[in-house]
Amino acid sequence: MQDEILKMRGINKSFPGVRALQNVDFTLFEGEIHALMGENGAGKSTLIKVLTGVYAKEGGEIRLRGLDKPVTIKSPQEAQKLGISTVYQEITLCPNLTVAENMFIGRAEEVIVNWKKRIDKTNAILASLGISAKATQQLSSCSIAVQQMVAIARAVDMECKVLILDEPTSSLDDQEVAKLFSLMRDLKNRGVGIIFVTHFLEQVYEVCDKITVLRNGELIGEYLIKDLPRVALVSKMLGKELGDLSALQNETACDISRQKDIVVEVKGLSGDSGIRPFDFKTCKGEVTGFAGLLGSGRSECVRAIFGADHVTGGEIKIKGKPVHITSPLKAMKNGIGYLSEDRKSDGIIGDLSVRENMILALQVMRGFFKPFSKAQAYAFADEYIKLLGIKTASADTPISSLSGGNQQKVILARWLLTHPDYLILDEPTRGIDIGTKVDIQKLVLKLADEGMSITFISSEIEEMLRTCSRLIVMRDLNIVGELKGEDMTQDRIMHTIAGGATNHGDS
Amino acid sequence: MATHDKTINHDRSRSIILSIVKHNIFIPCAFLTMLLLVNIFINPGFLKISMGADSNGHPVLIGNLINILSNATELVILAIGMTLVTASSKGQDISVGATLAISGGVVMRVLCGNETQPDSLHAPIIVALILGCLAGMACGAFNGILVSRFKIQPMIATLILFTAGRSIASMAMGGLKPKAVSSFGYYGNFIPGFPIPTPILITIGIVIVTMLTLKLTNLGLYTRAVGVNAKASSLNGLNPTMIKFLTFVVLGFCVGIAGFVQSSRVQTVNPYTIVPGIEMDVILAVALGGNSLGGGKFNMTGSIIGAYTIQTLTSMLMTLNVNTNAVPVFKAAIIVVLVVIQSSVVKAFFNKKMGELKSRKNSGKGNDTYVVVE
Amino acid sequence: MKKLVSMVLALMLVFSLVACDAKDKAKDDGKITVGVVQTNANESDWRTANTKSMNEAFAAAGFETKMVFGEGDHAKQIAQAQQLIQEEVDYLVILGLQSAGWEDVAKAAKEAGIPLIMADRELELSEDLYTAMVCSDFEAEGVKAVDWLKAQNMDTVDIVVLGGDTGSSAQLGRSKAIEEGAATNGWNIVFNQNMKGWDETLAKQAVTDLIASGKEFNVIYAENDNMARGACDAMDAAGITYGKDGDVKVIAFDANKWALEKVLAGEFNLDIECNPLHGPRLVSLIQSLEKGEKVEKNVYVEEEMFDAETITQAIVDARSY
Repeated sequence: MQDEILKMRGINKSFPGVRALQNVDFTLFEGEIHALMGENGAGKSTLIKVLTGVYAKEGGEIRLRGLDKPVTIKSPQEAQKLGISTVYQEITLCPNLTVAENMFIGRAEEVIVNWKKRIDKTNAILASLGISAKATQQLSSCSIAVQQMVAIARAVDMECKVLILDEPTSSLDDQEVAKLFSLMRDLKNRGVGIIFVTHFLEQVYEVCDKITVLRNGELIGEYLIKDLPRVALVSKMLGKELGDLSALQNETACDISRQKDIVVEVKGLSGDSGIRPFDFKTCKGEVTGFAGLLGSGRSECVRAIFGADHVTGGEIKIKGKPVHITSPLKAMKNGIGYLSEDRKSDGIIGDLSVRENMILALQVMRGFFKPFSKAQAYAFADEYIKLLGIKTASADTPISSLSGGNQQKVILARWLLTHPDYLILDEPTRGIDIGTKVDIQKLVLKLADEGMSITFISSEIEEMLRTCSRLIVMRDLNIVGELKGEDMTQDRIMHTIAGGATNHGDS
Repeated sequence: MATHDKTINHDRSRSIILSIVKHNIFIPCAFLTMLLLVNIFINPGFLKISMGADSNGHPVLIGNLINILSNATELVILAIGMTLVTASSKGQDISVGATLAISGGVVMRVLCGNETQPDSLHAPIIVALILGCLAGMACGAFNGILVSRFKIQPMIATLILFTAGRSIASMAMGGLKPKAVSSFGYYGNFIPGFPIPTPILITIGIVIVTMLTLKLTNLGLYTRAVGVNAKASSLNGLNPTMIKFLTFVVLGFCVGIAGFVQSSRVQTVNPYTIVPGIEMDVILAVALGGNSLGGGKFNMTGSIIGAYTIQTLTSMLMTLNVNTNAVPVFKAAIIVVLVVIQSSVVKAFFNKKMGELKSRKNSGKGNDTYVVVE
Repeated sequence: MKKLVSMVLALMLVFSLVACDAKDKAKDDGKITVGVVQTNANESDWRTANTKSMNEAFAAAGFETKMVFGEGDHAKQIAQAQQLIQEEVDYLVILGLQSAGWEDVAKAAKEAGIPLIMADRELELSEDLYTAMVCSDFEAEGVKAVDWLKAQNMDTVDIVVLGGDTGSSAQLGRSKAIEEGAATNGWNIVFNQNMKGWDETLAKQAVTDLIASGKEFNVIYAENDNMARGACDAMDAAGITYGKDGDVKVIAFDANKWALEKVLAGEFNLDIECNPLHGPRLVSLIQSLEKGEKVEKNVYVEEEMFDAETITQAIVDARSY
């Protein structure tokens, strides 16, 4: 049996009005990859922040191997000194510095810096970990995956014993994830204990040894991966049996028949984001999907339709009438809504309240001189908070203090308020918990049923299969295929993306 | 959550106090009150307002408080515009003093033409007011284009007019330094027979207009949305460039009004010395009002209170007859205290202390549903 | 390293070009060039008259004038003076915003063989560093006011001092005179603050505040005409009488024409001249220097004072500024 390197017992932490952690235990062994699972708001990030000294715990104890007394960690710096390093979803290094500079920044070990030595050392570490980057390269010139790996390499070089990976794979494609996993396994063999936080169930089963599940700030249990089938895991995270997901799949089939009234028709549209001229149409009540790898042009297509990027050519007809869309406002006035891909930078208005975030789009359409009265705005907000089950203290809470899933629901409410004929959802489920994911998928189908045309884009193909009745497949900024009905299987999509497709749709 | 609600219901009175203390204009108000108390302590007659008469026998109100309210007019009006600019553009306009000289200069030129001591006004005052405001708005538009369209940092963009503005004002006045007839002085002093100084009435008017604008239009929401996240705002149909530009024009309008009042005070404008250093006072007023100079959310009431705080401070140091050389030091010392108390670090500290106090009281009562273990 | 070298070279090139340019321009028509470092273009009526006087007198004498303005910036004035020395003017006239900090300029002028003449305000320079001066003795002006006040034989004297720009020699001299005068004569100074920019507005605000806080005073000692006017505005608004027949005596400095009209009208009790017409004096000084005559180094401009009791319409009419 390997050694325990970290032992947390009876951890308590509360925020005004919320008990974020209650008596949570967590144990990490040497050379173990340990998944920390739970819905948003389950307490994962709070536990990690307590462990890394961002928050002070209010009860319980933390023990580290080699120290006979419980430790109190007051700051991330102190955590690092104790051998606990964290790599976050967002890169926290400095993109304008070189890889080597990033490796050593903030670690004042010597007074006089020998950069040559440092560069050599950096290269050695990178090579030993199989990371394809050069020490003298500027960090921003590396891909996100490599940047993340550099962050990991930095942690490893600081002789960390506990490595925390907080949603590291959210913005990586499959190949990059594979690389990251091999790095993780390598570290595991060196005896590093890894805490892995993710939303992707597949990845947990691919790489982890153990799973600890939290729910509502409480410990549900710790399981060996082989003892916990996926369905059981999901049901433990949600706290209910999993009938929802399978029920959902059955509903999708009925959507294909509707091909009558065309809502949006796009011909030869191209934009300055580099998207090649493309055709697209969608009917009332239809859920379409754009599938493809990251950067294949799926977002660029819908951004062009919405007028978010500068359009360079082509035409758009809404319900048969040609329209000239040059700005998001014009698109909105023509009944198009667009939930953008990057929730944090393009979606939420951080410091503003849930209410203000919700009414923004409708308010803009209504005009500068016709603000909603407070009562109206509250009525809207309360209605949608209830309708979508948004967990927020009140309509006045700043949206930035909500969890990711709830933020997304607020943005969704923003667009539903405008009652669009055609709603584009670009990665609406990225980085949010599985419960909310299911909620959103259900909502999409319900809205389509009520007659709204929807485009649903997701990196998770299964999710698209479940919700969409027609899939447009993209590769290298071109539409390379269209799949519907029987053809819509994971295999066919993979083949089409990879270029082995026979079905070159009508584009 | 239900248990938490119950806790609040238990003692509503304290929660009201808490909510007042936590309200975002509490600190600015507390400062102003404190300064006023200090003034009263030093000069017991500080609050006294008496009815006097001017040399023509017209009734006038005399008192320190009246002076502060009257003299703060320019600062309050400019702070209103600056608050919007700060929120939308995440920066400040440092040219307000210089552009105020321009609009004041335009007012004087319109009223006096090319004479240094005309016997009558050359144009109706309303024309001078409108042209003065247009001049201010033109300067605002110039700054606004640089900031919103050319994406130059506000501080640098407005440095141009900061440097050149007073010379432009001098040119606008044709190099003259005219003095208008005293009837032009009604707007910066008293309207004969009406004892309240006109600037106070103008301030009230502008504040009402501002509050109505914020209520009846979406200026506030749009400005905040653009200031917090311009990219997301543009995806919601807003035009961040236009909104930033607009806030600068609004500030320009405020500059125009302030320039008019200022030039009416002594019926003359010296472009090189008018409102010395006011830009820093205005920015400070915005900061004292609890606004982040990094943009985003704003608190208009706070800015207005901040402006009065600064005027009180200036007036206090003046009446105390502090040695001129020491005045900046005093001012700086007091401002340091004000700014530090409002900093997020200190705020967080107080919030924590307050939270501890609250939980201790709760646990003391045996409220076992909400115990924070320490 | 390469970058640094090229940058230094580029800078040197620019400087040498500027230098060549400047030298080329310098006298080739035998005309005398006078460089003038003036304070502000439009500071006050006094300054406007001062600038005009120099421009007109120099033009009449056939000099070429190069006048630059510091616009309130002391450092800018020094740079401008250095620039004029570079351009090899024949005479350098300095009207300093501040009295200190001119040693380097004076030394550079001496090395370049350019006679330096101080005008308006005296600079803190040792005697060997300047050639002549056409300065006002501000302290002497203040002393005149103090003597006049003493002659009024008032029972109590409560003085409000409205100072000019802190640190300018006019403010220093005039403030010093009244502070010392008050100390020796047992007068009471109830208020003594400097108003930035010599401006009406601030003076008016200060006096309004004083009245509101109930401070008693019976003398306004305003260090220029504009501030005196601001103080009078404030007293008007509060119904306090002043001037020849009023409760408060108003003393002003500079004696602009409009101010003399106020003296004549009995609104100001006393105005002490600070003659801005430096042009003719400078011309005669430069002409003597050109002829190689020896000139007196430390000569102050003769100043008059105007009392409300004795002033006549003729005096006011004779005033050109």
